[in-house]
Amino acid sequence: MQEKKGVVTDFVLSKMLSGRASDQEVELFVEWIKNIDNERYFEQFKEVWHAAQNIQPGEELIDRSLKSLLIYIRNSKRRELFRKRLLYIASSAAVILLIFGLFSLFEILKISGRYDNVLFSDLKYNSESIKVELADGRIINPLKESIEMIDGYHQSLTTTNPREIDYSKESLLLTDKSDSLKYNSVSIPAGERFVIILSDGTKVYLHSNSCLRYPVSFNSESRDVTLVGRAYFDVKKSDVPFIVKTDDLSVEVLGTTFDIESKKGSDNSSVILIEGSVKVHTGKESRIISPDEMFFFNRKQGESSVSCVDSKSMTQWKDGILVLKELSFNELIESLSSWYGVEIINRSSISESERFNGKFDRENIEAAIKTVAISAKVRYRIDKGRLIIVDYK
Amino acid sequence: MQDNTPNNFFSSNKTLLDALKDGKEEAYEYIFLKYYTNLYSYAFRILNNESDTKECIQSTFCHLWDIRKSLNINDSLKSYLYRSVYNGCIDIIRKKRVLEKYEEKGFLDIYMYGVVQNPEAEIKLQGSETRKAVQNSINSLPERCREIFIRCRVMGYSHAEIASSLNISVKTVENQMTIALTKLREKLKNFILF
Repeated sequence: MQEKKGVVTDFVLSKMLSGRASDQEVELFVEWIKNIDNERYFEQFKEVWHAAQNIQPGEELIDRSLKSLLIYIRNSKRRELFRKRLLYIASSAAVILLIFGLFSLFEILKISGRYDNVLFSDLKYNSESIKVELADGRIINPLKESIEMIDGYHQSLTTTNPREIDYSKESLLLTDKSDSLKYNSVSIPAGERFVIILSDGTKVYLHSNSCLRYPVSFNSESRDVTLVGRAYFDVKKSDVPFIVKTDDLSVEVLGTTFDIESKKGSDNSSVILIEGSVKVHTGKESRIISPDEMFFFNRKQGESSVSCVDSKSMTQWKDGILVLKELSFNELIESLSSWYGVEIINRSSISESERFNGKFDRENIEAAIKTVAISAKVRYRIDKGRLIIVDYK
Repeated sequence: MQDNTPNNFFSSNKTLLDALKDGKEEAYEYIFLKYYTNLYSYAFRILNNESDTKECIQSTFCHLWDIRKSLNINDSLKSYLYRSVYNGCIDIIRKKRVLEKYEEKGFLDIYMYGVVQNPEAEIKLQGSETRKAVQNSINSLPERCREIFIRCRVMGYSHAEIASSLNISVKTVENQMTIALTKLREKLKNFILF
């Protein structure tokens, strides 16, 4: 036994790696590894330890596990036949025809024949508008009026696209330090979406029912914004960390693309990474995720997990296509209500365990609702501007 | 085991990925047999526990099946699997609150990124010269000597624990360790350690 590194011996390092270290040894180790030479030594030790330990599963275990995987696969195929109903919503009848085949087309005709009195133009859309609150408390609707900068700058922030504000063009002119203390915030109601380009060039796509608070101009030490709801961030690369804070998470990046969802009153929050790498902090832990991974946080249990997802398809909402996966009927209805900005009341008796998938175009609520009705076998009517969903019989 | 798989069909990565997406059972069987052993060994070194390791590997493959339709692998299937296993392991140790004692001391980051082997390092280690040399040297030790060495240096048992579990004296354990270390140091001169 060589006691070469003070009290932390190779034996203690082995215990650390095999999870057998006592509290005292963990403490010793933490102090010890702060030394850079020790850290290097540990790196090497770790490599050799991993090379040396090679516990292999027995043939019998491999056989048994393979069998149980194949059973799992077969059961799941059977389950899918019964349980999964695939909703595929598209705005053109041709696509619907492709997906549902002739039989479904027949159903569409039948339903629309019987319910042709449902006029989608009777739907009442959410009348709230997008609001930008300026540092001085004034509230402005960017779709109607251009935002004039306060304090005599008088520069229009709106670009040619009324659903977008660009702060980055002013950043050269706004050298006034106090601008980093001036916060604006923007709220997006149901049925709307919006794009903001922040002073550093970071592009933020805001989902409906979301609110973002941000400084008019970032200072050189920090880039902090606060989010409620859902947003897609395309962060400009810089040495200054960009931090998004929500009620329960904080996400730290240098330059990358990701989607973060943290709705008020929801059970879960999530972060989906498209490119680069991000560090997600919950109240008690932090975790780094890689592209095509989704960090999922259950607020009630305070537990988090990471899984692999198709990040490009899950974040298509920013381009006007909402992709929903594995939702219950109620969650589906809630998402559609927020996406289209209409009130939808579910009076059907579809079981909570049913799962729905779908892809929804922003423009065509009529096609969306019709396809939902066919797939879920429900009827609908419009009453006082609200969409009411009921059982078929 | 993995060599007598009948399908040369999956030799190209593209066909294999397509077969996985299409839900071809043979493709799942193929990758299971191909990667199970090494993934098991990797997960065991993070979890240090047999039943958790089995569970973690099993759910990795089941999950792959579950998400096959939206499967989108940017780099290789191999690194995808290692990364999934890594994430699964972290979830397990988190759930079991193994990490609490590290957390209290503000040591979680060092543990997660320093002590736990990340998937990139693991893939590099597989088939590396270091691994071959270390494995060969350990395998060349006399049986008793090897067992004592592994229990002590790899699994982290104390001399007294080893002595009582093998029903020998502490002195014998110490002697055998000295022999093991001398031999390994000679064989692994380039690696400095032990």
